[in-house]
Amino acid sequence: MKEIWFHRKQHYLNILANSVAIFLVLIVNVLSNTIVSNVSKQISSLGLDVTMLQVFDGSQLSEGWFDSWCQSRGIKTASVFYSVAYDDYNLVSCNAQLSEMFDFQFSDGQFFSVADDYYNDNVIVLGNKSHQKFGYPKVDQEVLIDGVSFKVAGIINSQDGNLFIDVDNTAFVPSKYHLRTRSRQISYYFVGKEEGLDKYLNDKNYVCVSQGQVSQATNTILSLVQKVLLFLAFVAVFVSFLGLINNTLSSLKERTFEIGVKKAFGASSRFIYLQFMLETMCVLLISTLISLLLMFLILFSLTKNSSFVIDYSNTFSILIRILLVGLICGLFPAYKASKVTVMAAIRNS
Amino acid sequence: MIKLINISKKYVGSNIEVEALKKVSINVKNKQFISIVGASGCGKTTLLNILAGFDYPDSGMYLLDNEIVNQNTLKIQVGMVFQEFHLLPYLNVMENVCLPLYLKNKKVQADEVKRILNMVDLSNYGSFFPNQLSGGQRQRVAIARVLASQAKIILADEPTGALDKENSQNILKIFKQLQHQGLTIIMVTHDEHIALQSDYMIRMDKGRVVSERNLVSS
Repeated sequence: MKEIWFHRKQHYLNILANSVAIFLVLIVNVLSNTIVSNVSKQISSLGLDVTMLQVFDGSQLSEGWFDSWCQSRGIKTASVFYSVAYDDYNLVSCNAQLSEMFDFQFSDGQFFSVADDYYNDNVIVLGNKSHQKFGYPKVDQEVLIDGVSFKVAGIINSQDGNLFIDVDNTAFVPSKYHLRTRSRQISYYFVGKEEGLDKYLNDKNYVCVSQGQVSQATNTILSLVQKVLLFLAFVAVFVSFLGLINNTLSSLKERTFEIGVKKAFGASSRFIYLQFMLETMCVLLISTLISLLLMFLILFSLTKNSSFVIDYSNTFSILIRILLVGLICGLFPAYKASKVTVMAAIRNS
Repeated sequence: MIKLINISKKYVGSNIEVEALKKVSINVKNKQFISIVGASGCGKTTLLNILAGFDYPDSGMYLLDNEIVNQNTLKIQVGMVFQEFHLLPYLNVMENVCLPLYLKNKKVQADEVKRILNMVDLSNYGSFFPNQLSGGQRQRVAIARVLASQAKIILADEPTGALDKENSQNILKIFKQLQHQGLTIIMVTHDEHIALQSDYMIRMDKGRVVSERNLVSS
């Protein structure tokens, strides 16, 4: 260890370059994994069997079109879904089934019922943050939106958002509210959880997107991006390891004396070889520790206020691969060092 | 004990060929203190390197105790003292002295190391680093290092070359002391006054042994 410490100046640049390169690989790997897993989680939170449908011409639709549409196709669990953005919350009009599909949990009350959906459109269900924005009304108290009074039916527990809704920032009202108060020139959406919706994918009147397809496409794109970024990061590692080889080979000249003295006093070529490999290993381990520390610091600062779950999967296997490549890069300089003779050292000194 | 028979060595450069040793034959007895003198380039260091096993002759025979030498016997029996000391700068005196033991995976006997440091008058310098020592002290550390390796033959390449007169005399005193303890010493020097203090002087010129002189009887 004393030798490594003595020759530390020779290793500073190596450690710096390797740390940056290894850090790049790790951060790219962890961030891309995290993005992939979080996006997948968002998509799959609703279920990969859910399909979203956009109807092009809402003006042709009568009040009961959705029920008829579902009935004629044998779809049992589906909901109209129409969202309007207000300044600090979204107002979503939907059917009672939406709660079941999204598996809402309530801190108080419940979602409006199918009967409310049919006969009583002046009820509202509040997400966790929209509840706060309306001044924490209790169940059965009333809130005002656009001069219309709504009775609070339930308050949803805080929960992660998904591709369709930011649940916490949303207030839910029955679908009839929008049919009555808004223009009919709107596009209606619904999400359905029944099998067989895929058969409408090619219907010219609708755009139908299944969650499974979205998930698959997203994963394909993200994994492609991940591979490209990882490739570039690995190129950086390779270049830094070439630097390590070059630096160690250049330092051999000034260390010929030291190697020669050791050989003159009984060190075998194998001993010198192992000594250089140990040095390479130390450089790699220090670089790895620095890069890990850097990665954790950056990830911590990036995610301390977010609900993102960092995905560290395969970080260890990537590190092992990097270290193996590094060790392979150390073989040649170590071999060259082991071949230095006492005579070369004497001539050099 | 040591017998060199018709040792020749050539160094071949790109355009030039130098015959460093031309059929050199010498005999060294046990517990003898021999000096090899000659002008620069006469082949004395080449001869010493061959004796140490650092270099190989092109032809001739090298016998140690009537057996042809191999690297292992040389490693065990021969230790080298260099003109420029060749101490490792990042090891302290104690560690430099123990270096041959570490390298040969031998157990360090603290008492033995202390005895050796005492012999070269460096008992209080164990924790000093080479850059904190004078030239004479460094050379004594180098000698202590050879002693720690338990070598029976000490080869010294210009051991006083980098030292003043007083330190040179101290080194020679140590060599004589070691000779009396049973070690064989072969010293290369260009300084005839230094060489005259050995038992036997071999003079070299242009790669040949030109004269041999027994200094004990004369």
